[in-house]
Amino acid sequence: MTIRVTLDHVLERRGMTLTELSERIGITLANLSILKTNKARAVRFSTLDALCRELDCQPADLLAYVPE
Amino acid sequence: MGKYRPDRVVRILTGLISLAYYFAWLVTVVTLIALPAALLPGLEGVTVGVPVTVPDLEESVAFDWDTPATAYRLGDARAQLEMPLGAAPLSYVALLWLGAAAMLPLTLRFLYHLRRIFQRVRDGAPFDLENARRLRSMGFLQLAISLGYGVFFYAQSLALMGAVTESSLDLDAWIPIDGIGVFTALVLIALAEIFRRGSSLEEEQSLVV
Repeated sequence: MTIRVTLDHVLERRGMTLTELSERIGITLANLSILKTNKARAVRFSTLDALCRELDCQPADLLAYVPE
Repeated sequence: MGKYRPDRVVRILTGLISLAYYFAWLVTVVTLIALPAALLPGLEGVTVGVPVTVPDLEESVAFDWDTPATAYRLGDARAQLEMPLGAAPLSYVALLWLGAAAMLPLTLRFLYHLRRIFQRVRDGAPFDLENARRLRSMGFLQLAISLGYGVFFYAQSLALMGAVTESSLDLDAWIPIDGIGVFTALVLIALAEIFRRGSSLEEEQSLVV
């Protein structure tokens, strides 16, 4: 997959842990972990919306295109 | 998509199938022990129902559906001969025992898979790849049961007919073709492929965050 999720970088900048984020946006830790480790096949807009709202960022801050 | 929750019917059926599975175990053990035991003195009264076909009966039956009432001639009649096992030769009892030993475990295995499928559905995982494998196995088991029953039935009918020295009836051996069993087997195998696809879709869905 050439789309990379850079959630860990944004979390580090905000000083937030994955567990805290999970509690704030109501997505399970397991699912966030799938997202963070680039194992996800797709992301819902509602998930992206919740992440951007809580982390105060843009979708482009969370996703990167890395050509193989 | 919300989490799958099985309804009460599934839970009840899971319980009933578990009961049927344990009962089938009991029947299997009792049958495999009882068949040879029936040869023991004191158990001569134990009989086994042997299906036979009586062809070309000279009998007829009339219905008042038609006016005037029309008599219809009976063709082949399926009957059951109550054979006392104590009087049967050892070879015949051995044949019955072999048939039971072959068919009953197949039935047990079929019920085992069915029970495991219902348990996985009850636990909220209907589209499990293991369920797909179990359905496929059940399909082939059903085919084996249907074909095996036909072969066993014909063999024991032949053995019985070969031993008859005197009969007021014209007896005949036949191979029953379990069309419904074969059809069921094909449906199970087709369902297995659908469940296999379902499990891959569910796996992909589980990776959508």
